[in-house]
Amino acid sequence: MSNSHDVMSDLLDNRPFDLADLAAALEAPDGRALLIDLLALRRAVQPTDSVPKLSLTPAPSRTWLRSALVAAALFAAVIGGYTVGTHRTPPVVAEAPDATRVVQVVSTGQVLIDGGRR
Amino acid sequence: MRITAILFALMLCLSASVAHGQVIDDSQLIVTPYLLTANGAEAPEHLSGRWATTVGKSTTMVFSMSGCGNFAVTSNSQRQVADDATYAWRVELTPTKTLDHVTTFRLRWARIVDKATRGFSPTSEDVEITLKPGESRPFDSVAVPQDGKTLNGRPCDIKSASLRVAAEFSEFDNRRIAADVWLIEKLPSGAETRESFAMVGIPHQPMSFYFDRIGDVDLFGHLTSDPEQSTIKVDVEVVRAQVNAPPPADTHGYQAARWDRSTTHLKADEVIEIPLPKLEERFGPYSKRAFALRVKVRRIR
Repeated sequence: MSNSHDVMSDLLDNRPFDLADLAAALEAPDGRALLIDLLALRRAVQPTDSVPKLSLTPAPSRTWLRSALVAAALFAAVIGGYTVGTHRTPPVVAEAPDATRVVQVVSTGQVLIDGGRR
Repeated sequence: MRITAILFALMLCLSASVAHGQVIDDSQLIVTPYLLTANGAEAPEHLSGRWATTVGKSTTMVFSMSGCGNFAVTSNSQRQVADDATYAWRVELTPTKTLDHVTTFRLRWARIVDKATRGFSPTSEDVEITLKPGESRPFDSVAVPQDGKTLNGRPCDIKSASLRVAAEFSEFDNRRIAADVWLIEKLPSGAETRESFAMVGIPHQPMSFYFDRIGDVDLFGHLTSDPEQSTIKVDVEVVRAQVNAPPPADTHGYQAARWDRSTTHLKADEVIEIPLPKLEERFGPYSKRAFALRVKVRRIR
C-alpha cells in the first residue's frame, strides 16, 4: 500500500514514477480507491493562489486622462474619415480583366478654355 | 399546279416585303410646342406627342393651345380640340424609311382652329422630312394673344408659340446596359495600376464616368451604347482636362482639355482596350505617362 501511495503521489505531483508500479497499484480495488481518495483530497486542499487578490488600496484614478484620450481618438477618426471620404470619389481599385481586343481612337480634339491661365 | 406554286411564291415574297416594312427603330419622332417669352428666351413645353418610327404606320394627334400658351394634346383615337382653344393643329406623321436611326417621314399638318387669326402662312403643309436623332424642324408659329391669362392667373408674357418635330432617342427605355470601365496606367516597369468605374444606363443615353485626379489632370468621359442583333455598338469619349492652378475665382472649369473618341462593336463578354494618345508638353509630367481604358459592356435587361 505504501508503494501504491508513493507512486500515486508522484503521479499527482508531476514527479517521475514507474508505469509498471502505477499499473500494479491500479489493479487492486484498494489501489483505485486510494487514487480516488487522493484526487478528492487534492481538490479539497487546492491552493487559491490562482485567484487574483482584491486590492484594498486602489491605484490613483486617471479617468479624466483616459476619457480625454478616447475622445481625441474618436475625434481624429471622425475627422479623418470625413476628410478621406470627401476627397475619395466612388471609383474603387479593382481587378481589370485582360483585353481581348485593342480599339484605337478615331477622332480627337483640343479645347483651350479662357485662353489658359498659366 | 405550276401557276398555283408561282402565285404562292409571289405571295410569300409580298408578305416578306410587308414584314420588312415593319421596321422598328430605337429612335422616335416627337412634336413639342415651344413658347417664346417676353425676355427673348424660347423654351419647350412639358408636353409632347411621340411617334414610333414604324415604317408605313400613320398616326395623327391634335394639339390645342388656349389662354397664354397653355397646350394640350390628344391621341390618335380621340383627336379632340380643346373647347377653349385659340389655336389647334392636326398633325399626322408617317415614317417611310428608317436606317441606322435616320428616319424619313411624311409630315402632314393643318391649323384647324385659328380664332386669333394671327398665325403665319401657310396654315397647312404636306412635306417629306429626313431627321436623325438630335435634329429638328419647326413647322408652324403663331402669335399668342396678350389678353390671355396663365394657368395661375398672372398676366401673359408669352409672345409666340411654335410647333417643332424632332427625332430623338427615348428617355423612357426599359432595357438596361451595364458597363465597366477601367483606367489602366502602364508603368515603365511593365506593371499596371488600375482604377475601375461601374455604370448602369439605357441605350443611346450617355453614361458618365469620372476617375480620380492624377497630378493636375482630371480624366472623365461618357459611354453610349446601341444594342444590335448580336453585338452592342459602343461610343466612348474620354476627356483629359487640366485644372487651373491656382484656382481662379471666376470658374470651376479647366484651362485646357483634350478629348478622344472611339467607336466599336462589342460581343458578349468581350473586353476592349483603348490606348489613350499621349498629351502635349503643356500637360506637364502627365504627358509622359501612358494610359489606356478597358471597357466591358453587357445587356442586363
